Amino acid sequence: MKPTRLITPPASCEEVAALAVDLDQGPPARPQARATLEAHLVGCPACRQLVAAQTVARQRVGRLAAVPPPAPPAALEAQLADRLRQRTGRPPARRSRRVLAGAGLLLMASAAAAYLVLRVEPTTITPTGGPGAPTPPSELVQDLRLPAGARGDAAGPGRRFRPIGWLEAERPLEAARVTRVELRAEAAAAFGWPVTPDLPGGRVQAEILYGEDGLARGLRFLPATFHVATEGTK
Amino acid sequence: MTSPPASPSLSPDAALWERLCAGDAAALSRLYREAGGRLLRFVERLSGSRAVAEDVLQDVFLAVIDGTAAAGAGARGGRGGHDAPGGYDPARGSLRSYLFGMARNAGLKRMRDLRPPAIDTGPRFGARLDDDEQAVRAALGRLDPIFREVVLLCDLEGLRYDEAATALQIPVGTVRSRLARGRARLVEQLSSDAPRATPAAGEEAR
Repeated sequence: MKPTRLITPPASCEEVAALAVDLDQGPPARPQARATLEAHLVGCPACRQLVAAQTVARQRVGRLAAVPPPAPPAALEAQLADRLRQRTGRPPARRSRRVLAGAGLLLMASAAAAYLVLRVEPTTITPTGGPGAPTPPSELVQDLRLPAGARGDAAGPGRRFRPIGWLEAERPLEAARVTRVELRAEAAAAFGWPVTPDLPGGRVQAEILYGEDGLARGLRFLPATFHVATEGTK
Repeated sequence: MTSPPASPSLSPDAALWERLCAGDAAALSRLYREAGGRLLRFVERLSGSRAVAEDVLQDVFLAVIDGTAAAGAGARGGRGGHDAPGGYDPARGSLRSYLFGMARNAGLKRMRDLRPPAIDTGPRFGARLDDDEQAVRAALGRLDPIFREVVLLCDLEGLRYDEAATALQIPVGTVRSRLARGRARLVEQLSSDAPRATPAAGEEAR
C-alpha cells in the first residue's frame, strides 16, 4: 500500500486546541481540516486527551451552568438610581414636555417619597374590583413580572402594577395590600405619563401594592383620576 | 451614528444604551436585575470572594452610569476596549461583553489586593449546590486564572467566543484554544480532587 502523502502541513497542537472546543458538535467542515486534524491526533496523545476532555468537561460543567444566578442586592439598585439622576440631570421622559424642574422623581417605598404623597387612604381595594372573587395576590405578582420597560402607558393601566422597589423573584407574594395614594402630577410625569403643562399643581391618584413585609412592590396610576385640581379631589 | 432615537435599525443593546444615556431609570433597573446576578456570580467564581464580587458589581454599574454621562456629553472613546471614556460603544461588541469585560478587569484589580483567599470557604450567593456542582466549582477555583476566566465566561455565563474575546481583549482563536485547554485542566483537576476509590488489593494508597 502506498503511503499517503499529506499535502497540507499537519496541524499544530495550538490549532488543534482551537478546533477541539467544538469537535463534539461535529468534525471540521472542510475535509482538509479534518484530515490534518486526524493526522495530528494519530501522533499526539496529549491532544487526544484534550479532545476527549471537551465532552467530559461540558457534561460536568453543564449542571453547574444550569444553576440560576443570584439576585443582585436592592440597596445598590437604589443607590444607582440616585446616581443616574444626578449624572444625567434630566427627567427620563422621552416626550419633550418640560413639566417641572423636579427631574426624575422616583417613587420608592421610603421616607424620601413622603413629600410626594399628599394623602394616603389605606383602603383595602380589591385589585380588579370586578365581580366575583378578588384577584389573589399571586396573580398580581404575575402582573408585576411584566418588563419594566412598559412605561406608564402599559397595557391595561387599570389592572397592571408597574414594578417598583425590589421584587425578589424567588419569594412569591403570598399576601398583599393595596393602598391608594394621591400624588402630585409631576410624580406621574416622572413615570412617563403625558402630563400637560396645565396640570401642574394637579393631583393624580395611584395605587401601591405592598407585600406582607411592608415593602412596596408595584405602582399603578389611575388615569381616570387625573385632572386639574382647583379644590380638594375625591 | 446619527440615527434618530428609537430608530428600528438599532440593535437591542444600542437601544438600551441610548435609553441609559437618556437617563431612563427603568432601563437601568432592568439591566441591573438581568445582568447584576450574573456578574456577581462570575466575579465570585473568578475571585473566590463574595466581598470582591459585591464591590465589583458596584464598580461596574457606577462605571456604566459614568459612561452614559460621558456619552451624553458627546465624548467618544477612541482607544480600543470598552473601558474607553465614552462608555459602551455598540460597534465594538455586545453590551454583555462590555459588562463582563469591566467586571473581569475590576475583579482582577481587587483580587490583587486580597491575601490569597482560602478556596471554597464562606457563604456563596444564590442556590445551594449539590456535591457534584460543588466539586466542579472547587475545581474551577483551582484553575490558573487565565483558564478559569475563559471557562467561566463561555461555559458558565454563556458568552460567545467573540464576546469573550472582546471582554478579555484577546483574539478569538486564543479564546478557543484557552477554553479547550481550560476544560482539559478542569477535567484533570476533577479527577485528582475526586475521593479515591478503595485501592484494590496490592495497590498502595498514596
